[in-house]
Amino acid sequence: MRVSTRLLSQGLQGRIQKLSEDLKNINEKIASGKRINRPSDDPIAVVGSMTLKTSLSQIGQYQRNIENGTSWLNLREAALTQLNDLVTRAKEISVQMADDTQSADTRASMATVVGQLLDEAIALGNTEFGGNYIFAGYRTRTTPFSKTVVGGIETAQYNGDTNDFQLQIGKGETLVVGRNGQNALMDSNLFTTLGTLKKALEDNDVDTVRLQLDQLKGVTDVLASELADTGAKTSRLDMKASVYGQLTLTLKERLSNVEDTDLVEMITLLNQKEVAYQAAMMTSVRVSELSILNYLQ
Amino acid sequence: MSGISGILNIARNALLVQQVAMEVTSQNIANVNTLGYSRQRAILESVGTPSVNRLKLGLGVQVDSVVQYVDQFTNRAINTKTASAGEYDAKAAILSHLEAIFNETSDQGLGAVMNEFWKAWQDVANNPGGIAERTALIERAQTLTNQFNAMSNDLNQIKQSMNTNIKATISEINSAIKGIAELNEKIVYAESGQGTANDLRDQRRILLEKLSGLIGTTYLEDEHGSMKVLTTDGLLLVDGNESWGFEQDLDNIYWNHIPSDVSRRIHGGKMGAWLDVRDEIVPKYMADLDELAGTFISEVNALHTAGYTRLGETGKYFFEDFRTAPQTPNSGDYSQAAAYIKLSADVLNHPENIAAGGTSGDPGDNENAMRILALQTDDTIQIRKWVFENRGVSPSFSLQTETLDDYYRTLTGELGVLVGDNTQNGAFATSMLENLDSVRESVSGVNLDEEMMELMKTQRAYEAAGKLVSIADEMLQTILDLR
Repeated sequence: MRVSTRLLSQGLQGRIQKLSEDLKNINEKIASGKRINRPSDDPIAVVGSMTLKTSLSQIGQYQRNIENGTSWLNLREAALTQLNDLVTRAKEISVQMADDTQSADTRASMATVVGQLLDEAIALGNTEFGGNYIFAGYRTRTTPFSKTVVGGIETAQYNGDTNDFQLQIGKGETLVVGRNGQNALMDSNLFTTLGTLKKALEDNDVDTVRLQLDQLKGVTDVLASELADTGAKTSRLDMKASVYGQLTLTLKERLSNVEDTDLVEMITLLNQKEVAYQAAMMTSVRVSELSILNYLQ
Repeated sequence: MSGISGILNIARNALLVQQVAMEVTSQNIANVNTLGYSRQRAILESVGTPSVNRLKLGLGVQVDSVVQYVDQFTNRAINTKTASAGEYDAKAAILSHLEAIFNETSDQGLGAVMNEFWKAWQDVANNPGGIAERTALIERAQTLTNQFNAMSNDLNQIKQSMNTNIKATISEINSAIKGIAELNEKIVYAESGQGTANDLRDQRRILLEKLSGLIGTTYLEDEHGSMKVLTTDGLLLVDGNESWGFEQDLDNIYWNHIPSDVSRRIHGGKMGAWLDVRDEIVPKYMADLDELAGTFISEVNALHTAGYTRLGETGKYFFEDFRTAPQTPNSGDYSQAAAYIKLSADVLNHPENIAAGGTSGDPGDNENAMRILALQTDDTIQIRKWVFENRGVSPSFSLQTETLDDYYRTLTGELGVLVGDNTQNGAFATSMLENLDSVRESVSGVNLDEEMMELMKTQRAYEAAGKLVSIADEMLQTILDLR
C-alpha cells in the first residue's frame, strides 16, 4: 500500500496518544488503589461492590445493636441475680422467724431488715441503662417502681407499661432485651410478699410469716425462669455476634477482591506499556529521519 | 511546420509543459500536511501528427489535464463514519460528567448516604427516647434530601447545557452548508469550460466532512459538479447554490424557518449526541431518580404518619408530602420528586416529632422506627423504571419489585454499561475512521519522497528541453554562418 507522509506521522501520533491514555488509566488504578474508579470501568463489579458495602453497613449496625442488647441483658441478669439473692435472704428470715422460740422483739428487729430488703428490691427494679429504665416497658424514662402502702401493707406500685423493648439483630429478626416490670416482677408478688412479711414480723403474726415462705418460693420460681430466659438470649446474641464477625471478614475480603487493584498485575502492565511507549517514540524519531532528501546533493 | 523552427517550437512547448508539471508537484509538496488535500498529477501527452506531414513526425508535448487522485467510495464511507465518530465523541464527554454524578465507587454517593440514613433510624430504634439520636437522624435525612436535590440539579444542568451546545452546533452547521452552497456555485462556474476544479472540490469535501461530524448527512453530485446534501433523515440542506439551515427556539429545532420541531429527525454527529443526551439519556436518569425520591417520600411518610411522636401525637409527616404542598407532583406521579424532596416542617428542628413509637409516645417505644428501617430490606416495594426512546416521544415504564437499594444499584450499573458501550463504540468508529483514512491517504495522500523524485524527473526533462533550444540555436547558427 502507498503510504503518504502525513499518514506516517499521524499514525505514530495516534499510537502514542493511545499509549499515553493507557498509561494514565494504569496510573489512576495504582494511585487510587482501586480497580474500578467509575461505574463504566466494570458495571457488574460496581453493582457488586455497592451490594457488599450495603451488607457491611447493615451488619455493622446489627453488631452495634447486639452490643447494645448485650448490655441490656447483662444488666437485667445482674438485677435478677441480686433479686434472687435478696429473696433467698428473705426466705431464710421467714424460716428463722417462723420458729416459735423467737421473741417478738427479735421479729420486730428483723422486720426492719425485711423493710430494707423491700427498698433494695424496688431499687433493683429501677435499674437503668444509659438513662433508660430496663424494667419499665416502653416508659423507659419513668421510674417504674415506687413505694406505696396498700391496706397498711408496704409494697411497690408499677408505673411502666406491659410492652417489651426489642432491638433488631438481623434482617426481620428482633430480640426482646427489656422485659416489662409487670410480667417480670409485679406478677410474682415480690414486693407485696416482702411488705406482708415485714408487717407480719412487726405484728408478731407467726402464721402469716409462715404463709409468706410459700409465697417467696413462688417468687423464686418466677425469677429463675426470667434468669433462664435472659441467659438464653445472651447466648443467642453471642452466637449472632460471632457469625457477624466472620461474615464481616468474608465480605471485606470479597469487597477487596472486587474493587482493589492487583498491584502486581498493574505494575507488570505498566512496564509493558512503558516499553511500548518508548519504542513508539523511538520509531517516530527514526522514521521521521528517513527521507530521500538526505541522499540528494 | 518542420525543420529547425519545428524543433524550437517543440523545445519551447516542452519547457512550458515541464513548468506546469513542476507547478503541480510544488502544489503537492506545499500541501503535504494539509488535511483533506488530494494529490494531483499533470497528465502529459504527445501532440498528434498533422496529416499533411508525410513523415508523421510529432509536434511535441502538451498537458492533457491535471488529475486528482480521489477515491469516491472511501470518501463516502468516511462521511458516514465521521457522523458516528462525532456522535460518540461528543457523548463521551457528557457521559463522563453524568457518571461523576452517580459515582458510587467513592464513598460519597447516594448509596452511601442512603446507608447512613437507615443507620440513623437504627440508632433511634435502639434509643427511641434519646434526643441526640433523633437529632442525628434529622441531620442524616437532610444529607439524603440534599444529595437528591444536588443530583437532580446536576442532571438538570446537563440538560440545559445541551441547548447551549445545540445553539453553537446549529450555527456551525449553518455556516458549513452556506460554504458548501458557495463552493457549489464556484465549482460549476470553474468547470463549465473544461477540466475539474481540484482544489475547490477538496475544500468542499473538507467542509462536508466537517458537517458530517456535526450532523449525519448523505450527498449526491449532479453532472455539472454541484452537490446536493441531505441529512440522513432526508432534510435537504444544500442544493446548488442554495442552502436551508436550522434555528433553535427553546427546546424546538426548526428547519427552513418552518415552525415545526424537527429534533426527532436529526441523528448522528454532535447534534445527534446533544439531542440523545437531552431527550433520552438525561430524562431517563432524572425520571428514575425522581421515582426513587418519590418512593422514599411516600413509603417513609405512610409509616411515619401512622406512628407516634415523643409527645404522643400521630399523623406527622417525615418528608414534605406531595399532597400538602402546592406546585408539587401529585401522588403517583413522582416527576421532580428528587428536586423537591425535603424534610417536613413537622420534623425539621423538631426531633421530638419523629414518630418512633408504634403505640405511644413512650421513650421506649421503637415499634414504628423498626417498621421504617425495615424498608431498607423490604424487597416488595413497587417502583417504576423508565425508558425514553425515540427522543422521549412517549416514555414508558415497567414496574419493578425490589428494594430501594437494589433499584439504585441497578441504575448505577446501567449507567456504567451505557458509558462503557459508548466508549467502545466510539473507539470502534474512530479506528474504522483511521482505517478508512489510511485507505484514502494511500490513494490521495502526498508522499514527499515520491514528489522529490517526480521533481527530479521533471527537472531533468526541463534541462533537456533547454539543451534542445541551445542545440537548435547552434544549428541555426551553422546555417547563418554558411557563405
